[in-house]
Amino acid sequence: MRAFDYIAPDSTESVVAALAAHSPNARLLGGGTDLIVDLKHTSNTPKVLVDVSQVEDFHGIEMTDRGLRIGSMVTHTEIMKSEIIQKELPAMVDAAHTVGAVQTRNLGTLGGNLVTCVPSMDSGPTLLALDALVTIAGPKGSRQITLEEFFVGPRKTCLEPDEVLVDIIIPKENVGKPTHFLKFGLRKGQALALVNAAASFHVGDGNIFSAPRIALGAVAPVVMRATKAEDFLAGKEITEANMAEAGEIAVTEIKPITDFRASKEYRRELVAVFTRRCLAGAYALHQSRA
Amino acid sequence: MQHGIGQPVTRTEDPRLLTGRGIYVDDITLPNQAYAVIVYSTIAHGIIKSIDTEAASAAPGVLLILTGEDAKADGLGGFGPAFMPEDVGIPVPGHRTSRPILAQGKVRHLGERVALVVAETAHQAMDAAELVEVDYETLPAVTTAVEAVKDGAPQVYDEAANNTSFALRMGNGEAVAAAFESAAHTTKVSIYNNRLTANSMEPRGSNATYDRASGETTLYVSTQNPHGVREELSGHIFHEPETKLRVIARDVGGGFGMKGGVYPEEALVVWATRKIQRPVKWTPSRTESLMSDDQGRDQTVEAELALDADGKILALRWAALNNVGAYIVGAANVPVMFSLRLAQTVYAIPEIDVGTKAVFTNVPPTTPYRGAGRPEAVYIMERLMDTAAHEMGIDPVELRRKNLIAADAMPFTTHTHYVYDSGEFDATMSQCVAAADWDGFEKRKAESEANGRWRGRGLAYYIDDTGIFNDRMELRFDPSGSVTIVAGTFSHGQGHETTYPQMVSDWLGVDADNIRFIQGDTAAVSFGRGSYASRSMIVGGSALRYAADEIIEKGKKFAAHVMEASPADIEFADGKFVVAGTDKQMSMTEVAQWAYHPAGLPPELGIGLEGVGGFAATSPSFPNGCHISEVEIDQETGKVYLDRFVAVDDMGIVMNTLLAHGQVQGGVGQGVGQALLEDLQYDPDSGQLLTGSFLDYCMPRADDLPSMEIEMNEVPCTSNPIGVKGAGEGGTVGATPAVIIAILDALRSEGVNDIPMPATPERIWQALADAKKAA
Ligand SMILES: Cc1cc2nc3c(=O)[nH]c(=O)nc-3n(C[C@H](O)[C@H](O)[C@H](O)COP(=O)(O)OP(=O)(O)OC[C@H]3O[C@@H](n4cnc5c(N)ncnc54)[C@H](O)[C@@H]3O)c2cc1C
Repeated sequence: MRAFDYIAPDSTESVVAALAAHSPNARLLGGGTDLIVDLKHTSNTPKVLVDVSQVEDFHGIEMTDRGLRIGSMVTHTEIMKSEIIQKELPAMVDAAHTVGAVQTRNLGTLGGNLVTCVPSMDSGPTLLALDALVTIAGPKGSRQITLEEFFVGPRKTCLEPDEVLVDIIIPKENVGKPTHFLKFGLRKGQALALVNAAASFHVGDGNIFSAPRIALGAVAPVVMRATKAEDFLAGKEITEANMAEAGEIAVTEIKPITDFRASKEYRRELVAVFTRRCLAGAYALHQSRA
Repeated sequence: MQHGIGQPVTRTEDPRLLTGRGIYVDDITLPNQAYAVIVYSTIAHGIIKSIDTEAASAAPGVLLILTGEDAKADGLGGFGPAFMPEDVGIPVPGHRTSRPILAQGKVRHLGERVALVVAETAHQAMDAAELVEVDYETLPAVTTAVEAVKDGAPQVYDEAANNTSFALRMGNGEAVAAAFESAAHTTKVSIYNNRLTANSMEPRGSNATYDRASGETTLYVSTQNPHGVREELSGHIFHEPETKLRVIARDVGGGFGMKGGVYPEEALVVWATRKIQRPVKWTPSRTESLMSDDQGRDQTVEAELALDADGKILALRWAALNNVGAYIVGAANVPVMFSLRLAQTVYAIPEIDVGTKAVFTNVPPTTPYRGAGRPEAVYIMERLMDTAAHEMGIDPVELRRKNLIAADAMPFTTHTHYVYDSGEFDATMSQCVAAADWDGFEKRKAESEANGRWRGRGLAYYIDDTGIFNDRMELRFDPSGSVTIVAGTFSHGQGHETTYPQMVSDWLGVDADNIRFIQGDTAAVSFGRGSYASRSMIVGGSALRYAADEIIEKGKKFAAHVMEASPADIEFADGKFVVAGTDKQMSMTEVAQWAYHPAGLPPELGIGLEGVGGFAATSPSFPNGCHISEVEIDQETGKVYLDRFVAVDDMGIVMNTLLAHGQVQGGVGQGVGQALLEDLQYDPDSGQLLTGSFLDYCMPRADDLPSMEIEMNEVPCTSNPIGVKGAGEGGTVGATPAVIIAILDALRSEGVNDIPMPATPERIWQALADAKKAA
């Protein structure tokens, strides 16, 4: 890591102005748990680090007309401690809890996790399964897109160099939607996901899957939805057999790789198992609430 | 006495270490400090055609660049083995290597040191290091012993045919062959004891400074053996008297054997500081540690056991290959030899025939790693016992009981000439079986299965040979009456700063708060051999006892003089010198103060109160114990959950139960790491390190371990004056087989009979799939 300038603006506008002034030689700094680690390993240090962790607009977790708004600079620890998230979306608490260790969660932010956009990111699947939206601010103002559109490829989002992620919104109808997240790593804590997964659905009249969502990580270049499995489930009765079948279908949708960490065959097996277990977990949550 | 021997005294060093006030090498920054960065070999095997340092020399801040050619020009030596088989009486000499401090002509493993760059700042040194252009002619590489011994394999040394440095064999081949002929049952296992690295919390590091006024160089280093570092550097690298070099180790954040020897970087910073006459510091990153620290284990074995129809062992036979990496340095041959010498472990085996070859490959050298050869021996034996038990339909506890060396057979001489002085193997096993709620297993198993998990249980009985060489301990009172322990051993996490004072306080009746502890500075400690092989309590503790005895004897003379009695009439008890049969008495502190009286002391008493003790572990001590683990395995993913772990250890007399339990816990953690998580992986073709960061080298964490139940069966050791056996390694030795055997127990119903280490979820899933296919 080499010397760089550091600025810490306190509003969205000044962040955008700073980026306009310095991009492409500027990088945004959140908790730094991805960026600082990277900078230590490269000699192409940016000239300016724009610390966005002090911007008030990027903080807070609250219900709005549109849904649950989570500032991009909310840390994983804050997610775990949020009463509304604990109550409505415990899967997000579970996902946050699997990120690194205590120190990583105290510093690391939801926004940083999404922007880094590695296939194994642990906050991706749950948010994707909840049809999350993201707000992006830039020189032309602000825009809102789906998280699915936001993810472009491994370590690549649709953010332009002069844009910043403001917040993440979980649409109103999905706040409280039964959801479940699971991660499979080589050890209990501080582990890279070999596979992570989330599933959510509403329980429709007649005990059927309504608006089912399945999202999978670490098995394709970006976190992905298993839409064929979702289509299969939609309108079907909630049974163990259907959950298992959805798992088998999800396997056909992924593009896992073989490397020394795991073979693609094993990743496929894990996807079948974890899809089914996530669906079962979401249903268990629904039943426990009823 | 609350501070007495055996009490669970909390660690004196902890408040300092836990509040960030420890001083590790990287915390030491000297005036005018310069920084060193190493250029490592980026290939596993090749010829250095040229090294271009021109651009690097011109880079900002660069002060010095050194290569192997410079080392040659300066007449610097290399690191050799502490001993080879021929040095300990074995007739056929092995191929002896010398590890250069910077590669000369050839590189033999990824991470071999090729050049040193010193600059004003660490970043400048890093930038300049990237500009050093090394032109290699890449040679084919070989990374495993199995491949390396084959004809036509790439040769690490032309002089070592089939990459074999030496072969060793112990026992009686003919008798064993005959026993196998007549055996009612034979059992066979193939084992690969995986390659590991210590990953001490504090990486290695060094900082050297040359003092122009005195001509002395001081080296601050993270090591287990400061005097050993000085001896090696002075004797083998710089060819100069040891008085030219002072070595200081302050707090050292773990070693596990990995810091027991001496490394090229330690020579390099000394060499560099003398050249530029500024302090030179080297601090590696974790990735550099993973790449350049000496490594552990890596033994491939074919093992067989012959038994009679009742399950009595008739003979043990195994043949191994030890992958020693690219060089045999320092204590590298210890694990190779110790695995052979401990081959029969705790069993009465009529005949053995065990052998191994030390095989060169293009990976870093191996060194003793917590256990060093004993984990290999015990793993082989316990896997054989467990497999034989299942094959013969004999309860594994019962099979062991039939074959354990009986307590009344002590002292027991093994086929490899070890004398086990003491041990109650059967009783210790029974204690562990009871503590593990052996009979409640079936109920727990049923509960696990109801949750989609298999449950298995593994028992392992281990023995360890601990304590090596002699050492020296000093006790010095000062005129105020407080006492200093000057230790030749070197605590790098074990807690000697707590336990030695605890013992001295008990023996001499001095308040532990008035006992100071010094170690790790060659200028303050006249001589020492450091800590490894669980030697400190055996050798250092015994030497300390003798030093205390000397203090008492001298103290009696001073007390006799002051109290006007005959020394023969002075008795010492509870910290007091008493004139027998009277109420005249003096405390140890008073006597010590008197010993520094400025006048009036008889000349034959000398000045001051000091004691020096020495002790040599002519025979090792043999801690042993039984470990039982229970695992659950997810039937779909193959993931192992270590659910229960019970250890009953006999480490002789326990000086501090809290620290002894800590040693067991940490050791078990490391043993579990080997069984389930840790693995150094090299690409077999290129020799590149795949597990080059903590993202992929999977260390165990506290939450991967269950809350352990630890008990002791204290059987005093008879080969040292304080009855202790080594405490540092047993946990590691016992845990690995206990966990793997439990996994196999869980999977046996599914047709799985073998699992490689580490037993990752995917490997278990694969073994299940293979078993299904075979069925
Ligand atoms: C030891 C360790 C363990 C880890 N374990 C896990 C794990 O288990 N699971 C997991 O998913 N991750 C893990 N991570 C990765 C990391 O902690 C998370 O991705 C974290 O959420 C990143 O957030 P941050 O605020 O620290 O990001 P930063 O490092 O500050 O930033 C990351 C990236 O996002 C950009 N950025 C930051 N804020 C914004 C913004 N508002 N708008 C636009 N761009 C922005 C930065 O420029 C940078 O490119 C681990 C990291 C470490 C060091």
